[in-house]
Amino acid sequence: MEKEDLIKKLESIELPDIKIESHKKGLKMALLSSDYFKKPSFFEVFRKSLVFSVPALVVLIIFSITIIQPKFIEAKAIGIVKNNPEVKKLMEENNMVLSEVKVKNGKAYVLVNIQKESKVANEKPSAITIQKVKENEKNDIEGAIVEVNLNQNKVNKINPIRSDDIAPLANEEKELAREIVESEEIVEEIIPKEAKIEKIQSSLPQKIHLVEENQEFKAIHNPEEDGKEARVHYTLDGKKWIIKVNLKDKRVEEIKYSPENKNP
Amino acid sequence: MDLLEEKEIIEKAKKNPEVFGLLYDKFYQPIFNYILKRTADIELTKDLTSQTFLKALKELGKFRWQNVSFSAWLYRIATNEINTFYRKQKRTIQVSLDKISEIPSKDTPDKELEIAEKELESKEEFIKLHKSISKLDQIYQAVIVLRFFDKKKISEISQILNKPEGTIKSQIHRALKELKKLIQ
Repeated sequence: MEKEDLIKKLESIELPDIKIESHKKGLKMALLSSDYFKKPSFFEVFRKSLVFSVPALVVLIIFSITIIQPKFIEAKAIGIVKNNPEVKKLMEENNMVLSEVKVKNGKAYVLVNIQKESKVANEKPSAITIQKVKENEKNDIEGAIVEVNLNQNKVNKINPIRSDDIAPLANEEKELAREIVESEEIVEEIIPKEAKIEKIQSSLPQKIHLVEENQEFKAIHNPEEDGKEARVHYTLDGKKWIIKVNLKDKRVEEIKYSPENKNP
Repeated sequence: MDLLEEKEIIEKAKKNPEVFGLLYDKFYQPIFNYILKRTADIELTKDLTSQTFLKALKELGKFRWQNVSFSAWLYRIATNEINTFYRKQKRTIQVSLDKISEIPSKDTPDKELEIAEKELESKEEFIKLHKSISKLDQIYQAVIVLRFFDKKKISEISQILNKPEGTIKSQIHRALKELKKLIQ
């Protein structure tokens, strides 16, 4: 059989023409009464709306628990600390700022830190600053950790942070500080030869940070990264001079003198 | 009903059962006949027709006019249902009853079915030819039935089977070649 003959045969063949009205009607009824065309009841609409609203609510709750609530608690702790007269006095006298807040077990730990300018790498050394020590200025304190009771809305205690506690100087570092100070011409001009070194303390060049330890928080400093500084205290007949030395750059940065001295 | 009207009706049919009824009335018989010519089995044709319209109703909300007419879309569903049936080789069709109250299948009055069976048996030449056609691959069976029994244009078959017209032409050519061998 040729292809054309086969096509002719296929096209001319008598095909069955079957109509099953009962099936047609039954199927139509079944389709038209199916759930597809049923209007959703109030409860179905409510159930469907829950499908979208419940996840949105969960996201909102998680967002408020993880983002909004901690920020709210931190803001509350800062408010309590700022209104505490003791902390206020400490901050004003020592040029301190609130720098960090941590919350744990119903308590907040607020770090109060001496304001320090961040040092830029390869920055050109600035001139030596000479200034009077402020009345009540505590030169050995770097800052304080203020513990706040969040349930009672009050300051529990103020723990001063001393640089010697965080980054004490080794004897070699103290010796280095002494050498730097003694070789500095301005120091020679300002401080009388009879003045004696009373003590050499450590001083932190950069801000300190809070870390958790044994369910509480303590301040830390990274000397490898930030370097170390020293404060050399001179004294003579009740007069005092405090010289800040940068041990990393090996230079004098600041000379402070006590209020008893009329001149530096 | 031109294409624009058909488009409008389909949009209405998505929400209105009466309008869907109009579409059903228009396309029930062509789809039933197409499936019958593919299967040569009345009971199976009833089942697959039900399946086709049930699926069409479920998917109607997703139907968009993208160069495929509603008619071609229905034929495509029917073709897929036939192919799936033969692939699974299951005589009993699993119908999900949760979406539809009742699919008529075995409820055809005996007399009506008897008449239908007799009508089919009377088409001896078709039955004989169908035996040969049924030995072809599913895709060849589809192109033979659509092209020569349903007198569809190549462009229409291309829409139904979602294949380029050139592919359809070559499939028709190969289908005829295979069928010729089977008949001889």
